[in-house]
Amino acid sequence: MSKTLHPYDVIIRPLITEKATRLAGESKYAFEIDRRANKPQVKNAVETAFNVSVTKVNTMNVHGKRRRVGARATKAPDWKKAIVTLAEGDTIQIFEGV
Amino acid sequence: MQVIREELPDSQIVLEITVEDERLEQAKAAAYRRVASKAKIPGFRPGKAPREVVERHFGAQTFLHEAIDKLMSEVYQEALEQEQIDPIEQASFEVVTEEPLVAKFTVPVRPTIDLAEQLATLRVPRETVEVDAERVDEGLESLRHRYATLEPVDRPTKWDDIVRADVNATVNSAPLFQDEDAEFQLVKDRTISLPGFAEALIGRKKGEEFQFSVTVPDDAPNEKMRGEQAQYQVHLKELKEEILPELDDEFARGVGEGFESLEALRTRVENDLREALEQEEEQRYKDEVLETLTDEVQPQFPPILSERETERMLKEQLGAAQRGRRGGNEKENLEGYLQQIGKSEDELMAEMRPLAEARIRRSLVLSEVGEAEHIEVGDDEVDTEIERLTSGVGDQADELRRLFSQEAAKENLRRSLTTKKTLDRLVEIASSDGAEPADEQEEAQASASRNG
Repeated sequence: MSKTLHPYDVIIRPLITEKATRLAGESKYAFEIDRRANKPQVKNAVETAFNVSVTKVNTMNVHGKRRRVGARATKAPDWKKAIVTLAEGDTIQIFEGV
Repeated sequence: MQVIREELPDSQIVLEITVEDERLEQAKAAAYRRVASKAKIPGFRPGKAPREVVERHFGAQTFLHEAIDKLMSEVYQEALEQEQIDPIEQASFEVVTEEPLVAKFTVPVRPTIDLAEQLATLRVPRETVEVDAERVDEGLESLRHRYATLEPVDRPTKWDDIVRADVNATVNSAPLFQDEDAEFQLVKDRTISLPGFAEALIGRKKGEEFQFSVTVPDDAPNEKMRGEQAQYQVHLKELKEEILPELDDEFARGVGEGFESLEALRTRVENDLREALEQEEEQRYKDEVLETLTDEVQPQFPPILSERETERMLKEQLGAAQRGRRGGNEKENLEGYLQQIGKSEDELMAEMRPLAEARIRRSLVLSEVGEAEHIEVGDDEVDTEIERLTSGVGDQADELRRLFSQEAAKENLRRSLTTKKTLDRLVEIASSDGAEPADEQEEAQASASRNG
């Protein structure tokens, strides 16, 4: 099942937050990725999509936050985050200029 | 900042201002700082997002336009200072290019009016006021009516009688007019209600109830009723004869505070009439003098002035039409009014424009005269005027004085006093034979320093 995941379906969106912006200074870029994707797939996806070489991938599952409004309890969906370290000199434009 | 200045006719100056790129960049950075400190962007605490992120969030053009908006008023003020321009109205502007930033301002300035020549030769003949003996007679006659005694009589009505009656009028059984105990005098050739109504009441007796009909004339305000028959039902309740006092010394003694003789009363009536006519003539003369001077000078002025004045007049007229009525917003009121008079806003504006322009021309000329003649109103004169206005109002004097002690009120008063004084001076010039306007030498110096 995971083998059939197309590289472009792996990355859902770049994570542009204060923290991620700080990481970009260390050639590390954060993405929200498909929950089924593994590290090699993320590496492959980032390399094809942005034409860069990836040296390291860290992934983690993020638990959705639980919220309550009165008696009604809801839960934000869980998702998967990847922090991708690029080879020296490579950059990804959408994070660029920070 | 580079400024290219170009003078247009009609007292307008075009300033083409080119702003340096660095300055635009600085303004953009400033705009970013203003926005960024408060901007809430997901993933960032307020004020922590980097500029690129903020720009992407709001769109890159946002800061450019913010910066331009801010720069426009800045560079405009600077350019005015640099070019020594004193605008009389807001300038219009357009941005020619954004990068590099080039903007064109069209600045309306005070027209330079040179009326020294016209002022020196301005002569308007005065018209003498004459009081017709006929007008005096009329005045006396109306006094007789005011002092007439009313005496109930028991005979058929005649002209000049005063009647009290219940009147009920209908047209095609729709009510037209209804009044109980209406009191009126039957004066020949004066229309009461409809033409023919008064005539129908002649020859009736007290206590009589009767009906008659008259034709509604073709110029009646209600179109539907024109040419129809109006049915009247009248109950004549009371009939009085107006007994006019004889015009003699006896009568004169009873009028007002009492006059010695009819001759004295006559003189007084004549004098009152003359005074009124003289005042009227004075006003007319002032108008004519200013009009004549304005016609000769024909000042040019920036079109925006007439735009503004026309709008102001429209508001005034609307305000007058709406007086006594309340509620509704301005727009609705305007629409209602337009419908009432059956014109579109543009038509009304077009109608008013010539009037507005005449007003502007006159006020321009007048203020120029004030300047040329060095007419100034000092604080003491303003104070005197306040004293004059507040004296004789009794209890509210303090209240009024407080109102007038405010700066804005004083300024207003000063302005209207200046106008008055200027007009008086203008009249003085126009009516005198060969009087020199102001002091020639002083005048020459003043104009030299103004031009220099």
